[in-house]
Amino acid sequence: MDALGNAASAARRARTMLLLVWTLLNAVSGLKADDGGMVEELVTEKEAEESHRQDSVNLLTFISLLTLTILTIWLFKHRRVRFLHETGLAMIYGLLVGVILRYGIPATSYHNKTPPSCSLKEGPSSTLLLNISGKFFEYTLKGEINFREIHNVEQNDMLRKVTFDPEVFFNILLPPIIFHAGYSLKKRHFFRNLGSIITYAFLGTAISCFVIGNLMYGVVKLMRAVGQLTEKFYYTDCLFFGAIISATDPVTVLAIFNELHADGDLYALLFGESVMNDAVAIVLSSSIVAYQPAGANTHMFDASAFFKSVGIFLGIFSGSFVMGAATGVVTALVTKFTKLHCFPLLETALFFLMSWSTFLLAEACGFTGVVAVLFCGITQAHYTSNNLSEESTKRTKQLFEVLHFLAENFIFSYMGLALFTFQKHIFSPIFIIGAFVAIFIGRALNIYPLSFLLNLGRRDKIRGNFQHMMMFAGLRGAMAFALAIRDTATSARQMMFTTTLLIVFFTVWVFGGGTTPMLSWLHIRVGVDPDQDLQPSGDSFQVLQGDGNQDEGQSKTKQESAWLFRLWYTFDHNYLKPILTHSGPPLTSTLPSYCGPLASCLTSPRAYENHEQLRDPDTDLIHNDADLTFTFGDTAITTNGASASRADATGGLGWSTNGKRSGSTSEEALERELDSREQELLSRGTRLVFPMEDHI
Amino acid sequence: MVEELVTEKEAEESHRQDSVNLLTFISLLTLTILTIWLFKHRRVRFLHETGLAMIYGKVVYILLISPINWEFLVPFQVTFDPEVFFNILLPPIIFHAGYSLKKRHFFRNLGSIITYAFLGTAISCFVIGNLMYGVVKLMRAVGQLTEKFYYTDCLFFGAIISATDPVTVLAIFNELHADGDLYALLFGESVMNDAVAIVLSSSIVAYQPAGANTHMFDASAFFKSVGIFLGIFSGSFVMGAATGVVTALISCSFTKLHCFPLLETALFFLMSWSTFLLAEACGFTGVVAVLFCGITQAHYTSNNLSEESTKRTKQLFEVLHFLAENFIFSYMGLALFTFQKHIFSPIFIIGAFVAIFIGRALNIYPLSFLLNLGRRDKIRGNFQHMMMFAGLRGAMAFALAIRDTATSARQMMFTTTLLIVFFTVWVFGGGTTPMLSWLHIRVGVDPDQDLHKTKQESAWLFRLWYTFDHNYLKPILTHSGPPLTSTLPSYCGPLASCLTSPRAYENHEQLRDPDTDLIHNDADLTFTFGDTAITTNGASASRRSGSTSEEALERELDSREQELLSRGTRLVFPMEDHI
Repeated sequence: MDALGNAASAARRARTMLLLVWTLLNAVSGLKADDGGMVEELVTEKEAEESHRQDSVNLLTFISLLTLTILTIWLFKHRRVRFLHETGLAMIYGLLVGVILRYGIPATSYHNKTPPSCSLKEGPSSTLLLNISGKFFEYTLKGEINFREIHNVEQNDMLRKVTFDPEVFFNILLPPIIFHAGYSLKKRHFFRNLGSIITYAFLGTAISCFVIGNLMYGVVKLMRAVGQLTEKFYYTDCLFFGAIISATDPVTVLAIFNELHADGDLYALLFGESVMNDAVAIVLSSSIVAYQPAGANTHMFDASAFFKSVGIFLGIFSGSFVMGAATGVVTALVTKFTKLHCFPLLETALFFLMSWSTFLLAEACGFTGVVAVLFCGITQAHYTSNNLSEESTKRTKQLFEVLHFLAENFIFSYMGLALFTFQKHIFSPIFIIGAFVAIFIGRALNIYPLSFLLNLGRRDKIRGNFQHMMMFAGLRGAMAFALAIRDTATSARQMMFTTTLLIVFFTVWVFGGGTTPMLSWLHIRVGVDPDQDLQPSGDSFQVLQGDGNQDEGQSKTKQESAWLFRLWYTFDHNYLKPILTHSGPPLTSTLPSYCGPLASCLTSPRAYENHEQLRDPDTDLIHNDADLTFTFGDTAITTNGASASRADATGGLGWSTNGKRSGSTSEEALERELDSREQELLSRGTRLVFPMEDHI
Repeated sequence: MVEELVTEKEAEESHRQDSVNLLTFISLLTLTILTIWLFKHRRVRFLHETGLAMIYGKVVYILLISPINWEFLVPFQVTFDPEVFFNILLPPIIFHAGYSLKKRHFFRNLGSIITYAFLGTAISCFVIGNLMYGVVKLMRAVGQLTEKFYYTDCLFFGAIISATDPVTVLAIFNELHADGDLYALLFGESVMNDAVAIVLSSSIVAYQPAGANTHMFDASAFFKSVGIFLGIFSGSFVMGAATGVVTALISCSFTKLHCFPLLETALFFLMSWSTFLLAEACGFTGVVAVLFCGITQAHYTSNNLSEESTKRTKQLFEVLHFLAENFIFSYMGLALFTFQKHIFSPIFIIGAFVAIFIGRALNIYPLSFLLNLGRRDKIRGNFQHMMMFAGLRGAMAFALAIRDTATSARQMMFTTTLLIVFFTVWVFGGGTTPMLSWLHIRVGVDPDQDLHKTKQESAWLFRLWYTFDHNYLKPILTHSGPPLTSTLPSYCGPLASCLTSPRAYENHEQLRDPDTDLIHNDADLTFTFGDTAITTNGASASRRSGSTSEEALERELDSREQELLSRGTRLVFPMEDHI
């Protein structure tokens, strides 16, 4: 929709001639209207069939690309090649096909016909009815094209056809990716680091956006001085570029982390940051676009417009958040109060539909669907998934996993293709180099100062090597691309698009490929068993709950200490969880007695049963917490690789009472850990040598 | 500046409108799901989910859309591009149908199914077409029809309305565990039926006699149409089967792909989708290709998939199928009101109702009689009545009818089709359970009991294909079956050993183990054929001595009761299941 708007804005420029290219809805042959109605009809039908066939071929190209990618990924995974991730691979294949499409197919000649000109009082409209020699045809607006390109329209038709409507990315491909990201946030680690993640996501993205924007403004000034830039390039454009390029997407790095079982906290920080980041970047970019100072002097600073933009940012963000959370809560309530879990198919379908309706609801209300979907995913994971039957949990996870996988690889292979098939690339070396420098500076000014500030408040500091890793993992991916391609009407935007594409390529290939060496170079431990962390996590929450008589220092982590967070946590545990899910303590025990009847009506019978079984080990956050109130004194449980080795490293520091434990324990734990890791590798190795044993 | 704002606002408005429209449908589906749950929970069987979806479609129109004044309704276009049905919604439904064909029963009745699907649909199409031509003549005589309505239009109507879709009946069969053969006959017929109807309708459209005198009989044009039918059908068939074979080969030769179920599932999905696109790009019919691709995938590829992938793919397509089907049916309910150009013509509608019953009867009874001459296990009278009764019309007829609503003849057809679908789904769908008990069709058959039932098809062609499939195709394409080295002649030795997967050798040694797969049963049967003890199951036993059959019947009833009992308990205390 922005494309349309900017198409119209560009219309004011004198150099281009307004030429509207119409696609046909009803008939294609209208322009060559003959007398014989029958012949015309046949031609129409044939042309429609031809275009349908063309569409099929295009989609087929992409699907073959994806198939090829999958087979190659398998080969890579099989051979344990880690330097190239599937997304990088998808881009390479996309590039190859793009080259073939661009240079391999001879350009078809096009009849040199001047387009019939007509004048409309209202200017271009989205649909138009034309009366061509007595017959009415309906046309839709495709876009404005440049005067020079009139004769290239048909010639580039092939290339034009393999380019998708940018809104496809936003409305079809991104939602499953984002939802899956929200749904698969590792809950425990995510909530433990919530404060830091939010800081990085909001403050960090804002810093990064403004730093990059200002640096790019300098670059643009430089280009103008050198004489390389003649088109308009406003300060808001620079800020817009800063916003879209601030959306990090370290999918490659995270995949490697996952495979190597890298440190859970680092994973949670990176993943959480990248997920929230996307939401912030979308809303930020749309509120920068909405920044329109009043009066004649546009593109200068205007306080009221600025505050309006800030207001829009807050409004859209909170609106989307509320919408996503609300749908999640509704789904949780529906699944709680029906016995839908007897029919996993219905349950899965309901879950899918509710999640999709979040997106549509938010879009219909004028909020951002992608952001709403993200928060919906988080809410669903937190509440609804407790109500689902075991099979549905698996089904939904797998369903969204497949969708996510397909959508992501599709976007990345499209990126490769777009480098060659996109028509209006503007390669500007100074701008590109400037952008590369700017994103590194922006990322550095995001991570290091914020980490320093966060470390002041965190018990479990974000260490130097973690900070370096986070700095390194500032890859750009699908979101930056989707935001950049959304609007490519002006030359400034086209330059941004080209630059974004190159940045994505570079970061995915170079940084993505360098993750494994970087991990070992920074001495970040890998091979952590996520289940080992269970008990210490509970530790942290034990302290979180604020038992004053406990020695706070004894716990490994307690990473977040904000009272707001603690308040929310207690509220969630005591009221929201029991109301929305079958887990947690029954409401009758947490609510004051005068709410008795209400409480017993809202509590599900299962909650009572659960309450008695609370001491059983359970992977859920809440239950761990409940467990720990009983097992806290037992140090044997809390010896895990993480805390022990860290105790070894940070040894004498006063705040960490892990140091209280003897060095031998930590060494022992480390050894045990290494042992288990080796065993795991061994077992994996065997699986790969004789994999046919698995499923006969 | 102002212009820009206006354009932007307009675009935003239209996007918002689209979202609202889609949201309406999704809320409809959500509501349907919740009500289905309630119905299933209360064991209400007279209304199937598809019938429910249609009702909600109507209710939404009556409650939400009609009270709002007409001016608001104009931008509220709740009509989709008809091609959406063909390119997005039908493929998952059809693929799932092909993929979930119960292999054993299906192949046992393959000859009958193909006869019903091809001959039967052709008979039904021509009978309905001719009857409707009579009706049209009558209407013209009465003066109710002034527009053009050619004989080819009547035939086209016959073709689109011949696509049966007994989804409601089949769901009830599945739930009650009705007789496997009847299920296979009905399901197989309805699936193949759809393919035949699509191709038939498109070749009728392609029937264009040369010269000025259009719409009269022309032998060359007729044979051209037949040629188009055969060409499209075989082309789609080959394409679907080829993609299935390629997938099987990929999943077989990349033997270790099953270590990564996600990749496997994604590959499977993409290959199946590419069948559709490939067929469309080549000018064949994508839906037909997808159907045969599904059958091939089920027959070969699913043997190569890892256990988890088999489950995943099944579940994935199940969900897609479920959503697409309910979407179509709720759209049907809505379309009855929101479609702008309905032409309700009472004579035509009544004529069509009569015609489809006559067409169905002339399809089932004569063909069953002919088939019974050749079949060992006869299709009994009550089965024939049930098949007659199960001639419901559904998504395919609707999608074909909505595809082209340009002329008034087509609009009349569309309206009539819609009404026929409503009527059959509600009345026949709701009447299935009483009908089953009235016709004394046994229910509660355990599908595993049927394992060693006898071979019913004895055509040499079928047997030839079967042997070929078992000895050569299965070993080449999958990990199951005997190793090629033992089936191929010795001079092919090196080739054979290179094509056979190492797993096949292992399997070969275990071949005598019980296995639900058709091939293995057959292999078993060559050894255990004389053993009557194994073949005593409810169905075949009843044919032998009276006492045994009664015993078996009693046992069967017993087990059914137990099952019902256990189901009952599950429903009373369902929270025990997943704590």
